Amino acid sequence: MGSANASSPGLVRFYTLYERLWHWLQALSAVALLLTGFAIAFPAAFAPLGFASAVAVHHAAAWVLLVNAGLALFYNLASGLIRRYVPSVKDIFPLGMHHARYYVLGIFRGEPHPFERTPEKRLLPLQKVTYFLILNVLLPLMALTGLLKLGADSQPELLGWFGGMPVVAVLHRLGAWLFAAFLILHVYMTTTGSTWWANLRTMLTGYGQAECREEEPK
Amino acid sequence: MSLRRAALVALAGLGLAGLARADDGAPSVSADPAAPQAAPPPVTLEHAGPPAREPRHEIHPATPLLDAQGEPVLRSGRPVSFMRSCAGCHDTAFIAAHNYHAQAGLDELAEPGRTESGRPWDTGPGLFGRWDPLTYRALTPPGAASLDLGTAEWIQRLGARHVGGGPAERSRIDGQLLDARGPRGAWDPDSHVLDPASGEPRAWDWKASGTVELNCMLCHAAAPDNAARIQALQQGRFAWASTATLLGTGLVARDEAGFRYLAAAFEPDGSVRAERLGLGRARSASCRQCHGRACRCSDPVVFENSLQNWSAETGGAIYSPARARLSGMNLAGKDGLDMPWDVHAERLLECSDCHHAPNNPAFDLKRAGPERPLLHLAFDARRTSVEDYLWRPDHELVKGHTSQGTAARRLDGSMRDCRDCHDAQAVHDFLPFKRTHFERLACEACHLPRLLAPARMSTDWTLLGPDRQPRVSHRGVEGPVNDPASLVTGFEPALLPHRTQAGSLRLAPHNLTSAWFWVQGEPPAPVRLLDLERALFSPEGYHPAVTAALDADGDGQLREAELRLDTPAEVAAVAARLEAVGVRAPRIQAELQPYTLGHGVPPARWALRDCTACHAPGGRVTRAFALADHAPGGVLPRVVGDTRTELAGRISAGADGRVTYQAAARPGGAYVHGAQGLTWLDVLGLLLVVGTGVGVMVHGGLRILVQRRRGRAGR
Amino acid sequence: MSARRAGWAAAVLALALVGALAWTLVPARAEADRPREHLRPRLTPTDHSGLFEGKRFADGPAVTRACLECHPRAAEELMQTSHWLWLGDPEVVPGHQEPVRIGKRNLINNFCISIEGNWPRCTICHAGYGWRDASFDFSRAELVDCLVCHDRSGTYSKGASGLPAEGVDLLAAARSVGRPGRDNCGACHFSGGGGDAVKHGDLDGSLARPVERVDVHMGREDFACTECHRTEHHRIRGRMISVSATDTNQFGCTACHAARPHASTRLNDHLSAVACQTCHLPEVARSLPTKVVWDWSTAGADVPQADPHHYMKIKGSFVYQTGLVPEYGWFNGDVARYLKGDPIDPTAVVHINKPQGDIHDPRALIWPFKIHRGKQPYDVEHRVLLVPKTVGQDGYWTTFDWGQALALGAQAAGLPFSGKFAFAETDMHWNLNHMVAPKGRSLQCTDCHTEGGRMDWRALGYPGDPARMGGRVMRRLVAGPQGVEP
Repeated sequence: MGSANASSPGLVRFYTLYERLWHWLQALSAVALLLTGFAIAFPAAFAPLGFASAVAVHHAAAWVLLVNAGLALFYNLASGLIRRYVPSVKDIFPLGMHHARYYVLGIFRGEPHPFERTPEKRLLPLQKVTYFLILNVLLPLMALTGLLKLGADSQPELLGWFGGMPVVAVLHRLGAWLFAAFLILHVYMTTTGSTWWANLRTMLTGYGQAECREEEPK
Repeated sequence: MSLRRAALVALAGLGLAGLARADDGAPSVSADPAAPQAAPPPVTLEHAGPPAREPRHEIHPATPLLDAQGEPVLRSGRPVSFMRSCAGCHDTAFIAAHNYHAQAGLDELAEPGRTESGRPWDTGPGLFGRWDPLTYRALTPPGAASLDLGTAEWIQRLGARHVGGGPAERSRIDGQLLDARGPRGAWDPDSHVLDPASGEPRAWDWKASGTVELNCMLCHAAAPDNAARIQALQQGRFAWASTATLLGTGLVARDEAGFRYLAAAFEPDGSVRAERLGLGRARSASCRQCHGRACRCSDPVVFENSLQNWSAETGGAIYSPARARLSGMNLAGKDGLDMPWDVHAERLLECSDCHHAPNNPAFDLKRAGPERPLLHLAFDARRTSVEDYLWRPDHELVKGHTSQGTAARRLDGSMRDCRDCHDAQAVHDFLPFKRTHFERLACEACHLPRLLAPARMSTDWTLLGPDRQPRVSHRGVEGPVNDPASLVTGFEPALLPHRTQAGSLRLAPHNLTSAWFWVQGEPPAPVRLLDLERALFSPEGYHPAVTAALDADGDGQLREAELRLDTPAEVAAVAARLEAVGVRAPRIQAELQPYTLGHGVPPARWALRDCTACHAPGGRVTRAFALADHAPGGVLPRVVGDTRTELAGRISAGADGRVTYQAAARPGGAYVHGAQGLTWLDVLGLLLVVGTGVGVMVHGGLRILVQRRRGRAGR
Repeated sequence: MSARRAGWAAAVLALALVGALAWTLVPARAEADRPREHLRPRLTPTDHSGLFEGKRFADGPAVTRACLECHPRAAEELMQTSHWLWLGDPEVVPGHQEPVRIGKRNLINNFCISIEGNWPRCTICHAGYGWRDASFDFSRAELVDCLVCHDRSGTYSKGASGLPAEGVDLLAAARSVGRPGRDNCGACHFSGGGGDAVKHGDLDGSLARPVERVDVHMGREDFACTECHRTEHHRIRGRMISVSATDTNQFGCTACHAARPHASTRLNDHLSAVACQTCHLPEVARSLPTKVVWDWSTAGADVPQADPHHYMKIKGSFVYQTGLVPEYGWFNGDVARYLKGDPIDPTAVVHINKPQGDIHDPRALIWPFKIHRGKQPYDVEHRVLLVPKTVGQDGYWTTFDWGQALALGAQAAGLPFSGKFAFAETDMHWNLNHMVAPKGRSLQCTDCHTEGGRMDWRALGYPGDPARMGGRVMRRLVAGPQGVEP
């Protein structure tokens, strides 16, 4: 992991092939879910897709996202990489504050990024916190409400325990809006690397410039 | 000779009659060619057309036609009695007693105001006792203070849609035969009728009129003369109604003196062959006589909206196998309507295939409850024998559970409905959430997406037209109804929660019919039509006071557009006129009758398949449904009490006076995805998303600015 | 577990899931009816208008010789076909032992009865020149008439013995040649039996420029005859049961349409017992009357101003019908053709081409027929149908002498004639194929499955209406479609 690429000196491998595959598959299904979900919620505004096909694609994409998430969990557990995702209190305070300050002030003053970014520490403090919330709150919420809705036909009692369709549907919709907002932010944040496109390139090729503030012996 | 006759018959069948030669001369070489003939020689073939068919095998034996005393009518000359004539083989007393078509609610009568309809003046759920604003006249209960519709006049006016027996034969008061009991006081509605000239009750001579017994031939003869029967009823010749039904058979003739039997049409022993009567099971054409156009009528179908065409008038349904495209009506988009008026009629179903006699051994009777006493027994081979069935055919025909079918509610849901014949699970693969859809929707919700015929929308009895008829409006037609120049557009029914026999609510298609009328007194009762006419009209036309109040353009005439009660002053003027003719405390009431629709089903390819028909804001489930062009007196209609349909939404009048029904957001508890439109949550969500978008744009924009400035500074 | 191995496992599983879901989302393509895919492209024929510079054609054969210069095999090809020979391939006619070649040349019908003795008149419709009598030489290629089928000017027509009619501009006709259109085929096939619409019932002049209501293929789609009657080397696909006995060189609706083309399974199930034509030809002779009865026995009377649709002195009495509702019967493709000299029973109706098959025959389907009923001369002693000589100075149409006409006809046809004759009732079946109605006008359930409907179920062999009593497969009157009894 993280070995220097012989052909491009200075570049470090951040993401394995699988991690990139996972990311883009997840991105694809998430966007598909958002679009088709929107088409289901507002069929008149999204007429070209067609309601019936929107429902079918939404269901399919949901399974992709869910299973893909499960596989990633397995991957991270099995390889022990899961630790990278667990934030500590430090990540909120003071590191998070530093991090936030950078976006509010530092980035405009041309200050260097306050944190180093290496394959081993690829997630920044706020990123860690956000992802932790997404993965532990939003994703389970969407998965649970989504599965309940999907099971409305076969397990109506289950749906009933959670307050029935009105409650579940509202929660699912709320989650969708939150996720849409996250997605915009997420895409924008990719532009805050060393260059506008650096992070995106890294996620595509797997290799990126390690941002090290000081040499840290391994 | 007989062969020749057969050939002639065959020729006539081909429409070639007249070409056949009548003489028997040997048809070989023609006569002298030199002598010119005036007419060309006809063809001499003995087999000039397709061979004759074997006649239908008739199983019913010849029947004696007896009068009520059991004497052959040929001898007595008295009215024929089918109850007596058919009793030799069928238990006619049983048939009349187990027969809601005959009882018409007589066996379900209640004290006024104690019925489920909630109307204080109703005395039962059936045609005899339940007031219908479409026909208006109210049956007067025993002991009422004034007489409106007595039993005899009920027969005259509503007997056209009653098969006889029940209240037309026996008094509701004491159960005696109507012609065997004497008058019981001046207000006894079973022995008096309202005299239109004096406005006072008048004794009815039951001895002269006789009673109307159950008329077997109205449904079981091939071609009953229903018009003659109705005429006999209207003329008060009740006992002769059955005889009049036979006019088309050649057994009876009518002249000024009355009805005569034609001995030549009878068998030598005085009986009548079954072929002559065309005896058989009740056919769709039989039902059509009262229920509207439920027929095997062939192209082109032409119909009229009227109370004689009941199912079309109340629900826009035409039960016919013919193609709508080939109809004679001015249907919108007719070229594309390559479909039968009703797919079940097209596929050879008779009314009685679904609405069968409960003990008909050819059909399985549905169990009343969900329980199945013997779990291991899928089919009970111990059936009613055909002999038992023919002796005592139960005429409590199995029925559906519509909102308007208020009589014999005990039988609700007993009929063979969609799911008893169709396996919906097997064929709706395109439909996500099948089970939920099937639980929340009646089959008809999608399979009856549009009724092709117009249907009654509103009836306004608060003012009468110059023809002394109520002001009515129809949905599903552009222009006046029944006008050949009007475009018949048909209508999309209202999807309303409807309570099934099992107790759950399902969205089912409905027509909503509203009526406005004057009531008087306390407890209220509809103002008698007689009083209404007296109040509104003078011998010359509209009463001057009415004209003065309504004549908006001051020309002394009441035009069509002026015939509506909008302002309190107009209402007060008519109310004053009503009070002047003796009506106490007149005020306007309005009610709404939902008609559950189930006939006129198109083939499956015409069913609703577009999800967004419901799953969109303004979709079928949640959208508003027009009730009337205006609300007379500003009164909004209330739903009748004995409906199985739940109108959980709101009835309101718009600024233009139009009355609409706006369904609740979640009718019947159904959450319809996509139908809600933009909710507060979506507004919040949208704000969040837009805010994030704006935020990153500002942030990004600032970064670009800073970068540029720094770039310049750097240079 | 190493990250690499875990990554591989997760990646494979994720991709497998995506693949599986994508598969379920692709809608299954159902077997559908796509008849247009079977049509051949309509080619533009070579323009002949600039050819034949400076030529003058003295007669028909001169044109043919010019055609053969560039199309050397054309005549040879045509001369193998029934349009030239008026005979089909050898076939064993039901009820007979030896294979024979039958055709217009040697058969008897119940219209004008036979061409033998009457050649000059009948051979107006022969695709050749000069067939005057039995001695016509069928081996001369120059006698082939190319123009009758290929003239596209619309000016070409034929007269007695098939020679070009007086005043026809052969050069103009030759320069116009192209692929045969409906009017080329119709010149003969619309007018069979002596006039427009007389013979077939489903083929008449209204098909030259038809509307959709009359024929959906020719009206809406503007089909030429050869789009269905596909032609290879001048051999035209299709046959008619009036001139052939067995089911050869035949094609049906399924040449283009799917075998089970309806959306409704119930309709498709009808196809095991009902021909397509039965429902899709609700009636024929939609706009022009067709002849249904011809009684020769009344001929010869002078009737001033008789309507020729009712009576003609030379032919006898007729019945015509418009909007003819077909009669229905089982038909397996074969007919028991009456051949010249076959004995008849004059007390019964003589069937000239009785369709074969019945309810027990798995090949047989219920077909619509026009039945033409006639009364025509037979020899009382020899009990055979006779052939009158009608055309010519000594023919019946001039002399009105049956004895002489029948004697001359018998001589020409090689039939015995005792001198004693009478008239026998005959019928002739015409299975109906053309004038396919738009689908919205095809028969509906109630047309047949009601009391007094179109089908005489008993006569067809059913115990009663099969909608209620069960069809022939269900009642095990015939083996099922795959030979399985359900």
